[in-house]
Amino acid sequence: MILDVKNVSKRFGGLWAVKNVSFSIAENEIIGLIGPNGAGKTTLFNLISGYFPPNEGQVLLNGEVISNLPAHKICQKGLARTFQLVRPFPDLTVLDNVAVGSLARYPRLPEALKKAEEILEFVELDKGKKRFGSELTIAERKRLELARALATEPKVLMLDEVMAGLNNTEVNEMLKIIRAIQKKNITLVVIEHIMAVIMSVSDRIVVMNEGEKIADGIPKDVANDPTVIKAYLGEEELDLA
Amino acid sequence: MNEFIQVIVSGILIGGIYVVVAMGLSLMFGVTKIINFAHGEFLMLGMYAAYFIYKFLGIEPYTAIFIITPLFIVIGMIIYKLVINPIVDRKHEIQIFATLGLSIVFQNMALFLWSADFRTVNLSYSTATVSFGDITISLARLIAFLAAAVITAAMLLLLKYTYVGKALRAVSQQNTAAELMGIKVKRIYLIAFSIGIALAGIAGALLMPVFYAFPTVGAYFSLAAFVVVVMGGMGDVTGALIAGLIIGIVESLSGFYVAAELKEAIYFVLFIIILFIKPNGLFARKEAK
Amino acid sequence: MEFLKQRGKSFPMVAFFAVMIILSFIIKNGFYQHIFILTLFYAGMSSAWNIVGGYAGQLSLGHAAYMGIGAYTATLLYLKMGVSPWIGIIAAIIIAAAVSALISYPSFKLHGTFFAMSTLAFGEVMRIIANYWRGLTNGSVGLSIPFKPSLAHLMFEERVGYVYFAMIFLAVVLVISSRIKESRAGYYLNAIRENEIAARSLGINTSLYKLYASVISASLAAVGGVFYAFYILYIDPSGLMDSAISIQFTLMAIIGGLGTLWGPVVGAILIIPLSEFMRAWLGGVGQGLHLVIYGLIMVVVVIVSPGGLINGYKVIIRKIKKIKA
Ligand SMILES: Nc1ncnc2c1ncn2[C@@H]1O[C@H](COP(=O)(O)OP(=O)(O)OP(=O)(O)O)[C@@H](O)[C@H]1O
Ligand SMILES: [Mg+2]
Repeated sequence: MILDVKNVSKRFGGLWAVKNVSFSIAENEIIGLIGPNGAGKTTLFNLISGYFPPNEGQVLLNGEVISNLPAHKICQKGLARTFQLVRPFPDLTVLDNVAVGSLARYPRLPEALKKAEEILEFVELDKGKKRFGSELTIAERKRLELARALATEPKVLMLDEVMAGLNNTEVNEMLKIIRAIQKKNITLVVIEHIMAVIMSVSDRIVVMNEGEKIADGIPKDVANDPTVIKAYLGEEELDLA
Repeated sequence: MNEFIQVIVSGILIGGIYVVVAMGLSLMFGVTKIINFAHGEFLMLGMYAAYFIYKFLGIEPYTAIFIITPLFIVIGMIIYKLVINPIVDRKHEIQIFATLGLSIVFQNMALFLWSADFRTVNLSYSTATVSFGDITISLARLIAFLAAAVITAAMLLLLKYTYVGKALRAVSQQNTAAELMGIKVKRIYLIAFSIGIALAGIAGALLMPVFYAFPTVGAYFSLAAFVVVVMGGMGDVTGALIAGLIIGIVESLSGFYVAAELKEAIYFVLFIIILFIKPNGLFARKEAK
Repeated sequence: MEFLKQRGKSFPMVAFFAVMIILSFIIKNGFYQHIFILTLFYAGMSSAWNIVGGYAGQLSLGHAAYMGIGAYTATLLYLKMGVSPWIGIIAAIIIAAAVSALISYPSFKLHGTFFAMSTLAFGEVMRIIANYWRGLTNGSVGLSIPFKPSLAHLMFEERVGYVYFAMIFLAVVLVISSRIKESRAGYYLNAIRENEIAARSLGINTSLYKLYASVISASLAAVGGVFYAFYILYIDPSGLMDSAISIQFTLMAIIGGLGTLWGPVVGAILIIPLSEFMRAWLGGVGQGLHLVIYGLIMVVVVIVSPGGLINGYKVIIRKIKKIKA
């Protein structure tokens, strides 16, 4: 198992944003992480990536405990993530944005820049690489965010809603990129709201609701799981109100 | 022991004025998220205003508040339109330097127009004292404190019960949400800024009978106000109330028991310590989204 | 090819100092020479500040304290123990580096305006201490250095000696700055400035890099302080460590272009001569008038040209290129 999440919990004041969640990921799998708004998906990413430590439980990367490490160490160990609200470096060029990522593996700048170019080509963002982060469209920002994380050459890459706010063509392009990343022997955890999309790309799906894991299995089974349907229906009722 | 109480009491009296200065600063920060580095200079201008009103019109500073308040609201509106409005959404270095620039302008304008001389007003009761048991208090300071208390109370009532007050609080909590509720955020910024400036001017008037005016007097008081605001919780007007009194007492104690010269240093150290203990102030729910 | 690129990069630097050397032969008038020296000195100080303030985006408003530490260290060693200011420079660097490490580590927990306020307070505390510690610093009376010209004493018979020393100081700061800028550290500092959380998620030990920037910046500022003391030959807390001086370092970088290599230099070239001439012209009209104008310019420039002049120029170049393409 490349990533083991063992009984992690995180509390904000009186609210358990993540409650006793466990799952494991095998190398080179694509895991879809879904759940209604506020289910705790982003918080789980924050826990795994070392943004804050869990109140309880442990995270292991390749058998090594990482849940007591600071975020930058976790990245150096080979786990990268993107942010739901993208955080490009606005006053750096697209190329420099990505180069910051590659510098984690290639300390010498010329090499890092070369690697950054390769990554940009890979995500098809190489045109206009001299533009500033602040000049990009939403779709481009999401892609830049992904490129930058990818540039740190992770073994596990966690994507937080990289397809939210994209149109159909853009979603399809992003799916293509995600599949290509998998071919590079990178394990992926993907948070996504669009059901059809996540079903098509994931090997396995983990479902969260109100901080807890409520289902874990292959897409077909999860889609027919009554608890999952209930959790989502609950949300729809809320949406109508 | 009596000496100690005496020191505490005079600390509380001066603290009352700090509360007024700090409330203005805190309100501005809470609503616009801009720290006004020129706040002390408005206090300085308030002192000069009170001085000249007394000199030329013979109106006592405490009465002059009724002239100074509308005057400073207008000044605040003008400054807001000219300087603050263009920078509200800018990077913090821009905000810092725009307001720092203002403070340089006002300080030196005062120096140019009114020279570096110390100015005082001598009221009939300037040297009068009142005694409670063993403690003696300067009457002028007591009046200044009471006036400060009235103004503070008025301010708190305004924030709590009026529509403007509610809007101010809504914007200071979350301006996007407030915008959705139909509050004109920029209008509220203007109001907060003008009220803040007026409070600084009023504090200047309150101080005039017990202190002296000179061009850089504002730096001295704005420092205290910064400490108070940070201590009270950035943008928290009620917090400023308690913190203001505490800082008054700290100042009084350190001036008496340590060394008057080091009073400022003690402030600053306290300030740094508070900043460290309460790092982000009001800023940002720390959340990686 | 690679070699030519390298050469191309250092061209502006070579050209700039060639012009400065030519100027050093042309400018003979004492007042102009003084302005020239101050400009070079402030350009160096502002560039030193820029490493932590511009590259790393940590808006320190207390850098005059490091200048003061440098000036007092070297002056006291020289006056009390006869130690050459060249050794004094090393002592100054060590002390400034230690103080900045001690101060920065906790203060980097603060962000934006709060960080700026805490550094402002730090600078003021240092000034008050210098004022109060009379036994060591002679308080507000200050310390005078007797003029004994010799290279070992870092004092020059001819003013032009100071011109060259200031030039070397600026050159050292600029070379270090450009080395940092074109390296992993420079990229990491920029990333920290732009978004610290994202920076951490990309494997950057943000505290360590901020500390590194702060220590280098403070050390260079301390070197500047030594130069200043042995040029002016008199130091006192309010002339050396006033917050207005810290603000000036920052302002020059902001006006020229925060976080750019040449921004602080451009800022100094504009501001120092301007304020010195204004002081000379308007000083007679009345106290403070030149500073009123200085403040007004500061407000207007900061509001109108938020990215600084260097960036403004870059934006224009980019627009022209776009139109051509
Ligand atoms: N830093 C924080 N402080 C307090 N509460 C938080 C914090 N971060 C998240 N929460 C709360 O924790 C819960 C889970 O939030 P989280 O962002 O993890 O949900 P999510 O599943 O990612 O939702 P979405 O689909 O909307 O992104 C929510 O109720 C949220 O308000
Ligand atoms: Mg989320």
